[in-house]
Amino acid sequence: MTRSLEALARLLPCEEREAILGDLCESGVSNLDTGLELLALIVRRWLPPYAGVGDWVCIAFAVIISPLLVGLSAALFAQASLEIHAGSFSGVVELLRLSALLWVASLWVGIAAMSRAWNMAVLTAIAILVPAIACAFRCHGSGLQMGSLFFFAIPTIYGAWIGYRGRHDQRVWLMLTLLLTLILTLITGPPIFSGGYTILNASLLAAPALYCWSIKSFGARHAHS
Amino acid sequence: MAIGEFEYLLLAVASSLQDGAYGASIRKRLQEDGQVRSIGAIHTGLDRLEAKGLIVTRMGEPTAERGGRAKRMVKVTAAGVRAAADFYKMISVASRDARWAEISR
Repeated sequence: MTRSLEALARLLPCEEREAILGDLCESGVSNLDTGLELLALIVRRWLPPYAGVGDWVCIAFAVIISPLLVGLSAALFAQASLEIHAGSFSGVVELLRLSALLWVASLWVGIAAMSRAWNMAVLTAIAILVPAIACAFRCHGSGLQMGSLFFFAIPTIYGAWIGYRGRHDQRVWLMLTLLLTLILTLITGPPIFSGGYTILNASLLAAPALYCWSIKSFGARHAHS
Repeated sequence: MAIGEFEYLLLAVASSLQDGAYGASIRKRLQEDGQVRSIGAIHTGLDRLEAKGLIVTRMGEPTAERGGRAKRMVKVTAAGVRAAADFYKMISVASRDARWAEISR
């Protein structure tokens, strides 16, 4: 049994690990088959059958929304440097508004991620951060540009923290962010009809808000449960 | 307690192996009977049966052939025997006039 397989098996509970590794050793299966069997079991353990539709929707939602947030985050930073350089007041105001939209959307994502059972929340968080990490590896720009990819990660992580702390805090934050969502959507309304990237931002905002509100309304499992 | 086909297989094999029932031995017996199952699937099934109270498990002694690792020994409970018997009866009764019943005898 190789060290990597031993390390992989550490993802299983101690007693179960002992029995499984022993059974695999006794069965004389190859290292490759042992690895595959361990992986299959770990997936079984991490994605338990009790995971409901809401859990899978949460992950699918994170997979869809995260690359959009990464793209928007990078676009905002690129636009910010142009607007500030040009000294356009209206441009800076627009940027601030879009930044607020992005942060609210990210906050929603974070709260949604931690509103599920803990193992599903971890998977959702991975789904959120993987696109940003992948882009950072592919991006050969400056440190600031790479950092911009994680601009959305700050409120997402903060949202996850709010979600983890407890239901009462979640409700307060959900009410606040819902209010902010409505105000920002009203402000963002007119530019939607004139085109531009505000359409993307508004849709980005609407999806997390609707999703979070629905899982709150229909009773999501809390991270501690 | 209703059980499924795989759960029945596990109960039947564990019962026939008696004191020698554990993950690897159950897998070997299933394999000999033409049922190839992974160790992970077997342990997941055992977890399910244990949660239903149809088996009890305990950690056995470590052995050299297992790299010094302990076995998870399996024992079928009275409830497990009843559940397996009910399943067997249900299948036997339902299959008595089926065309394949004659072939498989």
